[in-house]
Amino acid sequence: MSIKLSPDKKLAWRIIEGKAYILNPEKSELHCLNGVATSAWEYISKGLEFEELCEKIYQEYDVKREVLVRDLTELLQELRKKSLIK
Amino acid sequence: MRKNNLETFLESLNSTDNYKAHSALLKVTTKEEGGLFVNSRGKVISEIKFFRDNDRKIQLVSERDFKVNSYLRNGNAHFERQDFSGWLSLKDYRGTCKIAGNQYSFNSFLRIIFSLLAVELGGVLLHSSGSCIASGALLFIGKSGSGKSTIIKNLLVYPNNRNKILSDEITLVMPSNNDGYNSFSTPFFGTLEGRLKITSKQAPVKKIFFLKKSNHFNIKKLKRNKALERLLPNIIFFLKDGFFAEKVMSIAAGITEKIPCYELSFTERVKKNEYKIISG
Repeated sequence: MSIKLSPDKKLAWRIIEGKAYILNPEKSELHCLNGVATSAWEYISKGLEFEELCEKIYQEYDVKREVLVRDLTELLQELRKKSLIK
Repeated sequence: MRKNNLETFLESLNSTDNYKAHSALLKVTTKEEGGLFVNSRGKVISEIKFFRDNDRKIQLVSERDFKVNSYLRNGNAHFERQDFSGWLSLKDYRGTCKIAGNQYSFNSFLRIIFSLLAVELGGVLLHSSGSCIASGALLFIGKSGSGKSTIIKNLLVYPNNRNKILSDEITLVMPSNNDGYNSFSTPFFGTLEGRLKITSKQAPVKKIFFLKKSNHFNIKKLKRNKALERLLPNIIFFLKDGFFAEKVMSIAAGITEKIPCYELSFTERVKKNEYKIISG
């Protein structure tokens, strides 16, 4: 069963000029995401599952599906490592 | 009898023009035992007690000693460092704190309280020096060594700018009634402490500059996202809490939306034509 993705509740974030800025008060860190990662972050904040996230991004960007899945998997790993998503 | 540093500092908080400006946010008074009252729209903090120097000798020697542990528990903001420990109720703004009896510890504690109340009221404390011109305040933002004091000293030579300094280290930025932001002086100084006369207490914020030391002069307007990226690390805030992080983010987003922000590269001396560009 797929698990719904969601940002950590302690975070504060804004999307400005097409980029997500995420403030982690626990670690006093500010993270900035690039365009594609920002799109993914918006969907993550809506509580999508991984497969749904892949489908949404696949529809938005001109990319091979296997490349997209690999890149999004890496992105989620990175976001988890930085305690930005559950 | 010669006064110690703490007594001198507390007196200066109450008596000199340099410090009165911060009454926009707080009013500090003292009692015999070092009590502190902080008024903000009628709210009061009390029962602040100082350790006497003889009771507890504190030496801050490593970077870790300066790290503030702050957290929210049961509606109270707790602040702990090696030389102070206290809490503040966010309901009625009362609390207690024990502080080592020296100016530096008290100063650090006061920064924490200032930063919390500022955010509560929709503003922030910024690592910034500030200078006033006719149309408003110019804020120069940067960490230690970025040139905040240098640029202020530079601007003092121009007659229109003389005696119109808000701060060389930390300014308070609060929302104004006309949908903009006002900047205020604070009781916190940098390298110009004791050498700088602060006569300007508040002014509407006109421009924000992020400082970059360079061998040439240049001003670059920043996009809003870049301004936010530069502004957030320069906001002074200690409480590690999601609700307050959201507030800080919201305030920072508001400031970068309403105030034009620039990157300012400058040399040791700001020339007259450069001053015109900065203040224009």
